[in-house]
Amino acid sequence: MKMFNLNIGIVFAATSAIIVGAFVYLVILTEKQRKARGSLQRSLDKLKKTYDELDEQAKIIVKKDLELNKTQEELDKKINSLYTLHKLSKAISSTFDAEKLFSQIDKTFISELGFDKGLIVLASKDTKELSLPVAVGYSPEKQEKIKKFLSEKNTLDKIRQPLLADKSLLLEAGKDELLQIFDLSSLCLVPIISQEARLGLIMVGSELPYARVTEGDLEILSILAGQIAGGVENAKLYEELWQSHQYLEQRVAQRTKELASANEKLKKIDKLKSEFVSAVSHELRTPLTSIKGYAAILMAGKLGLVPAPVKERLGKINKHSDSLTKLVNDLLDISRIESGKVGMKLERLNLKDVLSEVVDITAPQIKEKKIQLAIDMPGRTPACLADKVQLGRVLTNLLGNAIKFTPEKGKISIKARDVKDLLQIDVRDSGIGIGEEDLAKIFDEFYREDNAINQKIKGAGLGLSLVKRIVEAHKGKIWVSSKRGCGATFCFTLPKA
Amino acid sequence: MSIRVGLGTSESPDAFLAGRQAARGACQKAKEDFLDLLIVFASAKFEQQDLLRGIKSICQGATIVGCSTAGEITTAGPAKASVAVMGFKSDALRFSAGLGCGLSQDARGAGQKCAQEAIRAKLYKRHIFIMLPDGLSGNGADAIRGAQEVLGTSFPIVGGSAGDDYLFQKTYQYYQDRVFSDAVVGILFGGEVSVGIGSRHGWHAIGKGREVTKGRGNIIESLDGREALRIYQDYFGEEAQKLKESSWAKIGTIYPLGMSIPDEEEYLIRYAFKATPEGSLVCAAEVPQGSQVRLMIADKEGVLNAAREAAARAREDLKDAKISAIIIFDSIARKRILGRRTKEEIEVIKKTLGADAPVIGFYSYGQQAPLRAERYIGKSYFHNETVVVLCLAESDSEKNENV
Repeated sequence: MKMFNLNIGIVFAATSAIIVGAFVYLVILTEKQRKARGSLQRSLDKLKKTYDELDEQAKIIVKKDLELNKTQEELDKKINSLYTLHKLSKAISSTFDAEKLFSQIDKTFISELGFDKGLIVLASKDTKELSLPVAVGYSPEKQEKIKKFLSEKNTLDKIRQPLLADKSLLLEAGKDELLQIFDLSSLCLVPIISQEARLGLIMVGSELPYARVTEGDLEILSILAGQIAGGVENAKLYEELWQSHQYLEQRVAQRTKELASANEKLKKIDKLKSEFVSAVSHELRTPLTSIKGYAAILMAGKLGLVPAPVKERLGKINKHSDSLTKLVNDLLDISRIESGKVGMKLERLNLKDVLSEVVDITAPQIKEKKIQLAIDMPGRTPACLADKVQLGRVLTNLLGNAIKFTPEKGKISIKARDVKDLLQIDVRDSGIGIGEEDLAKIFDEFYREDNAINQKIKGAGLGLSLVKRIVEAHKGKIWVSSKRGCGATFCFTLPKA
Repeated sequence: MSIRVGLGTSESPDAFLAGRQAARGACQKAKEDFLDLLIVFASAKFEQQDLLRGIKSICQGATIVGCSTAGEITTAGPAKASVAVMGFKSDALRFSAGLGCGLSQDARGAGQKCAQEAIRAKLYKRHIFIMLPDGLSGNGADAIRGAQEVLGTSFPIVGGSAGDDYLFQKTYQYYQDRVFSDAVVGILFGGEVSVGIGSRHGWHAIGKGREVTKGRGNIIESLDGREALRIYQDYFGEEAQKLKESSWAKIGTIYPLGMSIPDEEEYLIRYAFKATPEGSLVCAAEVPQGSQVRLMIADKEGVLNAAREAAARAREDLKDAKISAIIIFDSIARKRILGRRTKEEIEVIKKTLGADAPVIGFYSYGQQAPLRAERYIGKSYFHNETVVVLCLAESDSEKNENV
């Protein structure tokens, strides 16, 4: 029993101890929990604070981002517009044609500027009539309506300042009407003014309700208006310049025509002259033949004896008749060649052969004056295409002249050479030469240089003229180079065979 | 087995002529006199009925589907105020079209009807369903659900909501030679072809999450117990007023709301395109009550990277198959954020796909594409700010048989 009691006592004590222990533990636990809850609450508060702070930061970020987006949009728009403007400036500076300039401002251009519709109105300076060189997004009927609106009550004149109108903003009086007339929800309008006058206006706008027009648009459009004013002005100036240029051209053409007809008249007169000379020469030859014939009969003494002094005179008649005949023949030849009546009988000729015949004829004179004649004609000298008789005359004349003007014991050289598809013949003498002032006239008909030899030896001054015509009839050229006292060189060309 | 595809475009201001020109272009490029199927994306500025008449005058007998846009996409890059026509002629490709009307009254029903009509043709090997709903009426997400009830939850659905050049007034859907609004048109593709799909947006969440405490359908009435517009007022201050003033406020489209969805890398995006006078946000598709939303932000590089990833995923699906056609459903918000670099997005997609196949697409008011994570078993959702890349390729039938 005691044992039992003891046991109960022990159990009781143990239970009490456990209860007390549990109680103490509970008290401690509760205290711990309370503490833990407190620190949890503090952490939670801290977290919430951080969260709220983060949200505040988010607000700042979002606001900045919105600003950035706005700026970016405006910037994008400006870059686009500037790029578009740049393209147009290039076009403007490369054209003086107003129509071409306006054709650049098309649908693509307007949409690159960021708008749906665009209009350029120009007022004629004199009639005040309006034209729409650019009307993007407007039907012809609508264009007429717009013209009517702008010309009524001088509406166009009243628009003196750039203006913006936007349906979504409060509208000043009159702007609403503009938006209605142009069928837009926002627009941007700038007058086009040149240095001299108000030319018209340019307008761009959007139909879409959310599209905004900004001061930036107005700036861009003002630049555009300036460029257009410049372009139109330039085109006008250019037009004026072109007109006066046209007038001058017309005048020049008229004068040319007058000169041409005068020239034609002169040619006719020249032809008449040639024909006259030809006829006269022809008529002169017959009596000349008679004179010469009678003189010969008289000289031969067939009509009785002729005393010596008479015979001497008759000889002179004969001699002068001969030179007159030669003169007449030369004249006749010149006019024939000139009028193309004498055709050149072109054939393949060896220049050497023709030349040696001529040299043969002139040999006595050469010998008489003891002139040294050098002929430089290499064996491979190509054949030429010429009329044998006429070529002979050319050479005879040139060689004759050379002999005539070369003093005794002088030098004459004849040289032939190849120049491309031509044959060039140079006849050079060591004579008295030709004065500079006479060089140009030497081939003219009846021109005789005034020098000692010409005063002594008579001539008509037709030789070189004839030579020139013959050479030219062969499609050749003739020229002379000389200096007074240093001899002369006559050169002419002939086609190769 | 081959697919002949040709793309034709026109910028002619005359709707009938534009239609003819684009359709003729598609025939010429496909080197075919008759085409079986035409996909048409066109600016809403055209007289729509005349446009379709013009197309029909060249391609009689072809099935026509399409819609109006807020900007077209072609092989050459982004376009506007134009019409693009992609024509198909193939013995490998099978297709069948469907139409559902009355989207605003019953979006789910319209989606169902559209899919039912398309499925009636009992195509061999069904691959994908393209949906083009009106972008301004009804709950886009509901229309998808309707179609899923018919086609199966996991059946891939892609597409874009019709636009109207940012006017936000009226969009159009094309079905055969008729023009509809408040409707959804669809086209089911099947046959011996393979398809590749990729979609990404590239937006990131910023700031605190907020719970949708009250909302119905696509309207969020309150967030964290406060009027919904306050989220924008918190971040943008005065600027938030613009959501009330216009239906294309920049802050609503380039700073949309995102819902985190488990296992997916990216948030599911909804943009608020306007606010009611009471301060509720009207979104492009539903935002369920109780979901957490956060403000989303993006930068150009991120957006371009997303396009690259979307294209890479489409390429992955196709392995080495030769791509015959590329269809892109892009977002107007992406166009806006990219600005001058909009063209780069199309370039990046083409480059990543490594194909010189013809491209058609448009800037839409909303997109549809499947989610990738396994738990979604390929289920398609309604997205915003997303670029969806769809590639059609000739499938190697022999290889398929071996498998």
